[in-house]
Amino acid sequence: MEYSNPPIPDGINNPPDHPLKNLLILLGGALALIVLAMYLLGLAAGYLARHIPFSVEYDLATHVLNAQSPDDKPRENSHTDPALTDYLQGLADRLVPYQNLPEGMTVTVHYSDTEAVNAFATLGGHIFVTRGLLEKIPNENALAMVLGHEIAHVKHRHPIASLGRGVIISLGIATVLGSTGMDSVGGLLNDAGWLTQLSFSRSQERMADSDALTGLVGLYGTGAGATAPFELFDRLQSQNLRVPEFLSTHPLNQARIQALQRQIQEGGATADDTKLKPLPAFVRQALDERTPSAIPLGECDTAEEQ
Amino acid sequence: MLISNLEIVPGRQVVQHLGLVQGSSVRAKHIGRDIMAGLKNVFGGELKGYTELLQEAREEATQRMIQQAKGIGANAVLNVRFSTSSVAQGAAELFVYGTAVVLD
Amino acid sequence: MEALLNLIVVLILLALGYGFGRLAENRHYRSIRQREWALRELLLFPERRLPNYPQIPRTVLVAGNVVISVDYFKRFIAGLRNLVGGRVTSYESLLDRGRREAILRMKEEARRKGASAIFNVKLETASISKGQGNAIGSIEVYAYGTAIILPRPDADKVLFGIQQPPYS
Repeated sequence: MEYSNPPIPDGINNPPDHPLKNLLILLGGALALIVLAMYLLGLAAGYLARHIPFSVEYDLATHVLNAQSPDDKPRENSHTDPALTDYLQGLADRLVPYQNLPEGMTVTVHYSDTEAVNAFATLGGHIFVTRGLLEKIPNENALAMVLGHEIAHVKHRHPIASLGRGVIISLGIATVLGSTGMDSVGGLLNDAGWLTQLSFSRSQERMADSDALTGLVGLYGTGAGATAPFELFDRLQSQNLRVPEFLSTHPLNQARIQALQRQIQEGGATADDTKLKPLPAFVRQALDERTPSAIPLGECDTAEEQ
Repeated sequence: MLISNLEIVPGRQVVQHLGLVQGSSVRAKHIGRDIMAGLKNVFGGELKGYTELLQEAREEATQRMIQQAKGIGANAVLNVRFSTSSVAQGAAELFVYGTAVVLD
Repeated sequence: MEALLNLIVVLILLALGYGFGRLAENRHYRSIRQREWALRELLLFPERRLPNYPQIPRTVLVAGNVVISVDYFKRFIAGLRNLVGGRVTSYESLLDRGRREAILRMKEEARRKGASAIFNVKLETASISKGQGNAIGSIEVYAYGTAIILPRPDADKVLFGIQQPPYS
């Protein structure tokens, strides 16, 4: 009987591998998996969220809005203007009949005294229009187009669907990453999840554009001014490049303009520029009075329209 | 390659004792299986995914031990022991070791 | 902004983990191979039956342990692997290093005691600190066995304390 310890060949229990190559493959695989799962979950959540009764959504939004400004009075003065709000609300009320809103759905328009050129729809049928937008918008038809667009978002329940999607996606990401122990990465992706929670998909934007045009033609008998908001955004975008392209889920403005022009032609409506209706004089006046005021920027953090 | 957890092989003589050989393998199941196993935990019963995972890993570990034994010219591994440790959530390490010997 | 900051921190940790982890692992493997070569004369067997020594050997329990941790980069890879499934190579090399190191420490102890072989070697592995969440932080490997100390020609004197072994 013989006893010995011959040297064992190396690398059997620790097969050589390329860590970086490994990382790339795994990152790719894991990302594909997460994206797929999140996309499916998001679709399901968006679909389900649409079936939440509007009254529930409205109560939720009232809750949130009240919670954000507990002392209503001082903010009321700096942020709203009764005359402008009434004018916007009136315009929205005239547009609503053309949109076939479901029973019990209401649209509330708020005027926000901020510099940013923006308009967005949020939970509970609340639509915000900023001073910046009113100043830059060329005529009432274009404003009606913007309002119609936001009303269409409300009609199709896009804000709640988007919120549901956002919540589910951040929950899902937290679950997945929590289970793998990558908590720091989890925090990172979670932030990204909230960031995009109230953005709308391109198909949702197209849907809203199309409905807004229907409303515009119904109200004014012409499709003129329909493309003006997009031309405006296009111009603003080329002037200042603050908003990175990837943050924007809007279809490129040119593509939207073309789609609208096609729809105008197909619908047999005219785009007669002579029928454009200017903004009422008192609106211009109210805006001119307010312009020099120094109002803090950045009050609207969910930018819907850049 | 003869694998046994006895220290002797009946009717055969150990000619050479070549020392410790070992094999180990760490494996994880994909997240889908982990989630299913989590659900199954509510009801109890066999977690098929994990049974499979551990068995695969054990076979691989054994293969690696055999590879080591072959590498040093053995034709049997005696006194084999298996051990399992959970290294991370959803991943398990299977370890097997024994004495590499040459039988006549 | 916060997201960006987090991303930067993660990337820095990854780069640090990759650089230092690789350096440390290569150095550790070099040292392991060197010491394995130096200690190749000391034999190691997992079996319990001792060979028939001409003289009755002295036996003593020897052991070696090591706690070893995986770097951030490898932990990250293992986390991803957990999503996709498959072989977790980051932990395989960690365990391989841990086992060989523990065995080497056991052998070093046996060498200090003047042993010529170790029998009935057993290995225990435990994951001792589970880091943040459920990620593995580190493993402990414990190797133990019975060292065989053969009597030297002047062993009775050494054993009975008449002549101390010379220190040099």
